[in-house]
Amino acid sequence: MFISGIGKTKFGIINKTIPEMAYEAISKALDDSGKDIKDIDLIYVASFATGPLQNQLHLNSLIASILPGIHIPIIRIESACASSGTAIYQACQMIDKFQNIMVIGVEKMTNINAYDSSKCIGSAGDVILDQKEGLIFPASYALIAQQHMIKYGTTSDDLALVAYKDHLNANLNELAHFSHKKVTLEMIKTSLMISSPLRLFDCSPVTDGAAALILSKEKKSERDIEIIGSALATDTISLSQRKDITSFCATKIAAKSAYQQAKISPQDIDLAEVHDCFTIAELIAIEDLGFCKPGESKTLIRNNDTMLKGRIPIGTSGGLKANGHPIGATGCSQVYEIVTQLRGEAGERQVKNANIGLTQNIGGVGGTCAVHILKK
Amino acid sequence: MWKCNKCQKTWNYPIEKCLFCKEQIKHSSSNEFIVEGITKVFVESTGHRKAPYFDVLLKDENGDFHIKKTFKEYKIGDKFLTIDKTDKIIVATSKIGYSIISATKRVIKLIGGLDIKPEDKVLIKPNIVVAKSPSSGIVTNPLVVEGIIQYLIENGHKRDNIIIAEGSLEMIDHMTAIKKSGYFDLCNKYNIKFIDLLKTKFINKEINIEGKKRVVQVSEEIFKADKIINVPVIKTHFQTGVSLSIKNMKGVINNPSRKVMHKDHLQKQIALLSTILPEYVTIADGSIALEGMGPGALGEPANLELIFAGKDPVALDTAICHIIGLNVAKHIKEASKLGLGVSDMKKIQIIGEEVDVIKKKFKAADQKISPHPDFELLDGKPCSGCLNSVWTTLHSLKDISAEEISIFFGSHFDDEMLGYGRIIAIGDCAYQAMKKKGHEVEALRGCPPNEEDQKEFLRKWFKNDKR
Repeated sequence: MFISGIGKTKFGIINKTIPEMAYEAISKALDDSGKDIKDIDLIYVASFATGPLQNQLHLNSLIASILPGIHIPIIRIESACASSGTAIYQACQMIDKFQNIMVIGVEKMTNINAYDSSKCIGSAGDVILDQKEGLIFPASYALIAQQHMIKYGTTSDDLALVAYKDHLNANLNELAHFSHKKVTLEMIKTSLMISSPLRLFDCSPVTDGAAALILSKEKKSERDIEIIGSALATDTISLSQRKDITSFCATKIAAKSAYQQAKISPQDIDLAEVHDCFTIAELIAIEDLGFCKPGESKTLIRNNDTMLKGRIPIGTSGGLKANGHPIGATGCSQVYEIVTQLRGEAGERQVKNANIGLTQNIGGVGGTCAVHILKK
Repeated sequence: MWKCNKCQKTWNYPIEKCLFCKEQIKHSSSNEFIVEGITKVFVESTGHRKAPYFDVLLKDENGDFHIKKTFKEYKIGDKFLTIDKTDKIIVATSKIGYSIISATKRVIKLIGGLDIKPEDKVLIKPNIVVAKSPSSGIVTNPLVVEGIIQYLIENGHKRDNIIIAEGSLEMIDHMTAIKKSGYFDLCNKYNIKFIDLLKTKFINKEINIEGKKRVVQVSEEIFKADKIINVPVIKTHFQTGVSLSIKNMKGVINNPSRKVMHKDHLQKQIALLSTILPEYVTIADGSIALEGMGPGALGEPANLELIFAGKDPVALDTAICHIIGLNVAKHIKEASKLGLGVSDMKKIQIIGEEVDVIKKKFKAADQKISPHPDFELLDGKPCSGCLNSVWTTLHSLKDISAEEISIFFGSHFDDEMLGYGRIIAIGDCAYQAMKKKGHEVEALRGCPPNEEDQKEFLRKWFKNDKR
């Protein structure tokens, strides 16, 4: 199976509606692939927040409305921040039965007050065990960061280096939420404390945006990128239901399965887009995906190994941290970036000799994890 | 925490049987934890408007994690206790989490049990004043009573020795009330008897109000029981401020006594009632409480999500008022003056949960709010029957424009009320009170008249236009 077309809107505070953004991503993906909309046999649409924030559900029919007259099966998938990663996984499972499947991720989040937005995002956590105890997502990841610091000696400065690297990459990505924002380490380290030890710059932003992919059974172009591994794993929804919170079991299981399918090891990965909704999440992902041993991610960060020219570039798009995190569109956006890199079309942020790339898309605090491995 | 003893899998939800090895699941709870992690949260969010606060990662003796919100600053390694040692009067509370039954059992344990011997006859008195489901916040949730029953059975009580008893409002069909509120099914499930207190024998008891003796007729069932477990639902009340443990025991007297009680000194009489009743322990249902214009359908359900327990009803009622941010009602203070308990918060210790975390400000019941802008109510101290039904009827008509008219209800008519323009009367008491004073007005008879009859009676004053 191959990714034959990709499309993405600008991420950020976008003055467009859900159908407008979805239409733009679909249109760009079709143009990129050279295919006609009538070539698409099945569509998965992924979103998380359009119901609570925009009072817009029944998204499969909404997508049908911007593609009038095609009447093909369209299915909405929701699994929190891993919605579109899950949709891509589902498309991979179905590709034997269809020629071309489109996956769309879309989210509209920025025209909502902070309280409602926080409540909506919080609904990805357990309503009793997390939400009613005030465990908003920054607080969850703050507790994870603290445990990682206690166990492995990771520091707030390490987290700042993650954010700094992400912003440098986003400055090279015109479609990123913070493409033009110049950020210094000093700004990051002195930014507002949100939930100790996490500061504002440790958190991904609230973002609008859409991204679309076309998965095809057969390779028709040299620009088509092969999916050589696709896996999905789940875990309990609340941190309080885990035995260890410095690692996400779902990532390890999904990664192991994806590596086995691809017949490769973590050392074969040239670059990765990981789910850095918070800076600590990037460090944990690096460890869980096997790019280093548990507790050693800080060393990779300190040695610049995850920078564009490093041993294993991470978050070349700017990551969720600086490219933006329109929840339901994030998984598609990650694959968009890896495809762009593997095609050699990433411009200033192009990773040299990029042959195999990986995406890791997390829902909640590791309750869902989709891992995809792509090859040139 | 629910745990399978065979495969050691755990759940945070009330699971009956392990899906993996089919074993029965055992429930356990902890009150002592070690702080493993702490974060100070600086941002406000929905439901958490007071910031900063802390979230602590706790580990119990089984190695299981728990997350708790707190306003206290802990250090890693500290003990996190939900029970402080105290010589004050104890009121226990528990968040209901995923199980009202478990929270009920927890608060019973926190107050040191129910002081009941296995052979004792136990009477459980919930609030089933009307035929409503527990989601209304008007009646006691049967799951709270189920928690009590399970506790009793687990502690060796025979089902034959447990009864549930309540006297609903006079105009409410008893069977409809217990079916709609869930008590019919509960009694069938545990093979426990339900007694309609209004159909029992009543014993004359005396209270002294303002130097005059007054007879109150109390169901004899109350005196047959070795132990009474009072199970009110937490409600606001537009006549008494709140309806909690002390007020809920008014349900054990008959309707004529209830009506007399409403004529004067209502709050004092509610307090005095407790002096002629046996002692009781209270488990208060705050799973879905009622705020605003309670205690009936004009109130608004409030998800307090707490269960309370206490052996001192005055302390319990005082503590609940403190948690829901309402003034301690007069009948609670009167009960304290009568030596029935403590109403000074300095002498009361709330255990089980951190008070600042569970506080939730309730909307008070304000009797001055008119249920209909064109109909003025003349307060002749009606009993709950007329009060609830007239208020509910007028509220349901609030969008229909009408001629300005005064409605008298209750039995205390004052000639000064004649200055309020055209008067009509609703209810037998109102009709008789005005007739006694020589005033013949249009009246709707009934005790109380039903809502449909009231709407029909008022129809002639409706204007055609909607508001």
